[in-house]
Amino acid sequence: MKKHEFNILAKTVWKHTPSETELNELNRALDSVADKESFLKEELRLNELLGKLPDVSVPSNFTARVVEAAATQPARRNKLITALTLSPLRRRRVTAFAAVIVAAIIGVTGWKAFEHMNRVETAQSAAVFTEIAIEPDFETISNFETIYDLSQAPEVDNELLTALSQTDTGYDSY
Amino acid sequence: MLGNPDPDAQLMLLVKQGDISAFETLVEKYKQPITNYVARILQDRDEAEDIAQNVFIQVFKTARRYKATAKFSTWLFTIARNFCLNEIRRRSRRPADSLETTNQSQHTPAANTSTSLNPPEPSKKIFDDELIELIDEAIASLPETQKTALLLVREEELSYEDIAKILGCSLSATKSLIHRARESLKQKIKPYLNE
Repeated sequence: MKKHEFNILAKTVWKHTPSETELNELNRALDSVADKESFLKEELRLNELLGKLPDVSVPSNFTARVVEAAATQPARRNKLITALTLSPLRRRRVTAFAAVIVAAIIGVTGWKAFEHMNRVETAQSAAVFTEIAIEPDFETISNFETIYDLSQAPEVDNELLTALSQTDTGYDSY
Repeated sequence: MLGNPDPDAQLMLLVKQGDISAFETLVEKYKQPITNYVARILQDRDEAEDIAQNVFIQVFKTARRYKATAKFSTWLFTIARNFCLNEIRRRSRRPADSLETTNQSQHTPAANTSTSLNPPEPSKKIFDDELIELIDEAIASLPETQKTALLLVREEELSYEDIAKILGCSLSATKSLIHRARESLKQKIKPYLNE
């Protein structure tokens, strides 16, 4: 079957019983159908039978039952809304409680942030110090022995110092 | 109201605001086509009533999500089809249930007749009632998409575009489904058609 024949069938026969004009149009349009008369007869007969398909019985109280069942739906929703709706006093208490909670959260978060920042700063200073301490330049390392030797100087001889102070004049006379 | 000329959509907007009488009007208008559709898709008239009821309850429950741009009948039949598909899926997972419901549905007039058990000889004169029962059985044997397309095309409210939306396929695919369904039915009842 050609596309235009298919479309004209959809337009004229499938959805309703075709009028005389539509039947004539259909007769002219069905080029590729061999036995046009028989084909149309079958289409119309099928239409007629489909139109006669009996309705399935629906109980008379169907609508009432559906409406009753549906009516319980908003009731449930209203219950929920009622449960969530607060008296002005309770609303104030809940608001105050929520404010305290929010303030506490902000405080804790702020303190944590401050602590974190402090830790970061300390760590940064330590890092600089460590960098200096860990990486002495070559000169420092090369003079290390000398510096070490200097720090290992003999202890001060107090007795000798006293004796020398007593003989100060003698030396001066030279 | 958003310029939607669909009177059912206007009613649905009232339902959205909690208007029960608008909902009642819609149920009254569509209870028969929805029950017919569900019964013929599932081949179970007893279950059809419960499912049709659930379809309308679902409409009420989801009214807040309804957008007035959508045609009400298209939306309603889409919900009905989804319910049917869920039921088909549920039955395919529980074959025992479907066997039970098949036995129950044998109480339907179509299944009780002699035509369903012993199709009459083509030579015998067959009455319209029997032929209609044969058509009913032939529809039952169609694939779900063809069945849906064929049944919905008879609904005045629905255009081919609407049916395509419900089926989730193109317009040409929808027409093709209807054509194949009709050809299949004609083949099954051909011996009696020209009497």
